[in-house]
Amino acid sequence: MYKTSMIAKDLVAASSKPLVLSILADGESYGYEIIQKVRELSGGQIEWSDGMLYPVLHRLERDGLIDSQWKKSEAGRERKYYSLASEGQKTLIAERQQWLTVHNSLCKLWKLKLVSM
Amino acid sequence: MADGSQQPMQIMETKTRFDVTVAIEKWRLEVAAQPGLTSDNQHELETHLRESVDEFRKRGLNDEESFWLAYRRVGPPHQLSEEFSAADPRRIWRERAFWLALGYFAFQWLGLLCRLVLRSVLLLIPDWVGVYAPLWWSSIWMSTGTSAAFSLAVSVLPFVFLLLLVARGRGETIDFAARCLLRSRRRLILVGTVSVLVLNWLTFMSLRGSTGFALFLAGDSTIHYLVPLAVIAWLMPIQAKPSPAEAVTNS
Repeated sequence: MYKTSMIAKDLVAASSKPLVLSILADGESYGYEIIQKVRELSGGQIEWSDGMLYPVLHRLERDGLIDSQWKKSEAGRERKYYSLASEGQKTLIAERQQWLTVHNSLCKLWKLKLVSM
Repeated sequence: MADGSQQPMQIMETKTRFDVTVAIEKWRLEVAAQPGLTSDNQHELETHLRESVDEFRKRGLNDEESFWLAYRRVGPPHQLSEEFSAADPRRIWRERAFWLALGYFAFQWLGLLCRLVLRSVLLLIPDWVGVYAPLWWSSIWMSTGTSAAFSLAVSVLPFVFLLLLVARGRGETIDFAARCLLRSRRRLILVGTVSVLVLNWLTFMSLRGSTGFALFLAGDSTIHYLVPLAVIAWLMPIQAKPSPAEAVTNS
């Protein structure tokens, strides 16, 4: 049966877009850091395989939601940094609405506190 | 004596010592050999692997442990290639073209089969029946294989046949047959070519007044089926095989 501690694969895939966009809304970041951040935020319950993230990032970039740029970090390490494009900003607002609607519907059913949209 | 017994041990140690730079270089070459990964993709993955190795080292793991853990996290190269190319529009369109070509071939093939079956049935009817048959019937009979109405009926038959199968809940049978046929390129070409040649030969035999086997082979009916078959085989998505390095990590 389902392991209660890990999020189902479909849900992980569906939530990757709002998660990436929201992380980049806080400022530019690179693949490795994004994965670490997601792991940290979810308390290790959302485990993204590294190979899964990059196709997601590249698709978002192709769709014009994020931009990318190779840069050297202070330690001299070269990394590909991603940042939120203006189109991504709009998409993030829409995504937020949708996810909160789902969230609040479930909260009502489970008699939990609602989140203001 | 003591020196002599120590020396082989030292040699063994240097032989098995793990060099993380060499390991990353090997990994890089393996990734570079995968289809569907651009050099930019490869470079990005390499920086990711290095970052991951460094993190494990900081946690106090040795070079070898750090490398293999990072390797595992990034994922095996063939899987990376699959994940990357699954999101690649070129691959998506290639797959669509593949199904289109396969659909065309299946359609033609089923049409060939239906035409053959119908012709055989008509051939079984003795000639004298035509004399007593109503006019509309003999006109159909005479024009078998040439009339537009007959071609249309034959073209629709495969669809009706497939729809009937689906409607009767035999979707899984179709799926299973397709899976068996599409397991390898060689099998598809072999089964496709042999079946087309056999069907074409039987059709040829059923036609009265046709001459020459060479004519049959050179006939455009063969080209109609074998050329699409070659296109299908060329477009067919092939599953990457796991590399030896992954067998090590998986064990």
